[in-house]
Amino acid sequence: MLLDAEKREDGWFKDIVFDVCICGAGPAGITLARALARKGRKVALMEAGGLEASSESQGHYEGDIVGLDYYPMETSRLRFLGGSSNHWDGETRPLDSHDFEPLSYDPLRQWPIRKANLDPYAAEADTILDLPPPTTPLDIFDGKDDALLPTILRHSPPTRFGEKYKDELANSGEVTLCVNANLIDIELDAAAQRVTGLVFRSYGRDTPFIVRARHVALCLGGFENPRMLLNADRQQPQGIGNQNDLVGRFFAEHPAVKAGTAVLSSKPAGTVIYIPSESLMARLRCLNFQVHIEPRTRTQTQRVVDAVVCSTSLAQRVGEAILGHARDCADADIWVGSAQEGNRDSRITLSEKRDTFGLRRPELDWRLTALDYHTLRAATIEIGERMAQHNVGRTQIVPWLREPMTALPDKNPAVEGTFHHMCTTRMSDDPKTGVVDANCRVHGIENLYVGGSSVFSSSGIANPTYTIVQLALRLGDHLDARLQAAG
Amino acid sequence: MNLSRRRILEMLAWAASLAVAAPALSKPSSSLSSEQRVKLVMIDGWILREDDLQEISPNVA
Repeated sequence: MLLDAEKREDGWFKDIVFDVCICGAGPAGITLARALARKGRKVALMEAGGLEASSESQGHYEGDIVGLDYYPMETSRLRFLGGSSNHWDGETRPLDSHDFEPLSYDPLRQWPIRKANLDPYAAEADTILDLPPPTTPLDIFDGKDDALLPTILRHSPPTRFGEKYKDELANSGEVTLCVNANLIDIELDAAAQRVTGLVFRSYGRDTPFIVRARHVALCLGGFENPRMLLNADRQQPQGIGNQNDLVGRFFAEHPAVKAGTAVLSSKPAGTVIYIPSESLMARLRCLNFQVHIEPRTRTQTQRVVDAVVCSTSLAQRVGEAILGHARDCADADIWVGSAQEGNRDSRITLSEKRDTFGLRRPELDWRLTALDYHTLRAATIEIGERMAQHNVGRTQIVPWLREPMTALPDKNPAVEGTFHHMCTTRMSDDPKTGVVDANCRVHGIENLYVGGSSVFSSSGIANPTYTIVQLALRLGDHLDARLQAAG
Repeated sequence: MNLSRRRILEMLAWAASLAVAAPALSKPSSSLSSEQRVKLVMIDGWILREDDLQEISPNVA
């Protein structure tokens, strides 16, 4: 069933108790709703935006950036049916198995699950995301290097969850999909241990309406999950699930840098991607990373100019005098992306500004550590050295990565985010170090769950959509088992 | 010498022409084993093999 909160009639949802109410219809929320519906569970799937993008909805994502430079918060995610899958580029892969393991020099990495817990959901994630079978990765070392491991990103068409699944959800007998339904408050029981109701508003009507369910899952995204928990401070002044001041902390991205350029003895057929072996990570004492060697494509005219200007060093200098700048004659660009160290001070908080529903807006303080910087630099040097050692090319590193530094400059436009918003309601068995438990349940609240990459305990380096879908499928199994046990 | 090899050497020659000295590459060093390694240097951000420099300009190496 498809409902529009803008057109609602009084009494909607009044006498219904759903099995699960899911807030947010992006990849996590839609996957969870479909998984539960398949098991015959009654689901309310509440989407704050409409069926299409609108500035009215998108404006509710505005916030302030106070740490490292970042994209405007209202542009790095999307607020309508399908969520941020609507601007997903389609590249993804699972987290690496060692991403889940403890790491002595990243002590706050504390996943309570392992990759084996998510592997059973891989085949279904492939189907949901329309992923083609894995291909053999390109390798400029031709199998001769055992420390930098060639890997692939799999390419979804990309799947737009709203477009792909709207009709299925609208025609479902189990799912009530309601658009233009903005979550504005979470009601708890007197003991503050159980959610008793979710308060929603549409844009055009001041009157809120309440949805009740046995279980609740927030699937609002890496910024909005903590924002909503912190805003729900009517019964718990510090916010729900925030008894240990952890909600919003540990914000992680995948910092990416254009690390250099390369001349290659042989041009690869496409982008070549490497990740470090575990032993290489240990030797370098760094985090997981991805190196992308992206061959440049040139027009015929550009190739002619290159053939002249790049043919000799003298010609380059003449070309430089004519053009006013040196022509970059490299064959490929080197991009490096890094995981992030667990860092309490990298975080989402609430500003004093409020949106039209009275909710405090988010404030992003993205920070990198010396270990993050070290990883970016170590990865860059490693690829450069190995290309030289194997005599397959030479790299030139960008100036700011050439020298050891203990930290990045506070504002560094050379570092880019990748729209991956992670770890802000991180998973841990211990409420003192995480917001949700191994089943994505908020510590201390018996029927409140969180879906999406905000539950990642650490970022890893893989593009997160695949893991988001795996976690949502696993959460569906867990909720179904709980409902079954309760009878 | 094929064109690609020539292009590499030309770029290295240009980089080497900027260099006053050719310092050994600072840490973090490659994790290749010592048997596998050739000596590397960094000049103007280029990670080069020492024999690159000898081929281009013995004076720089």
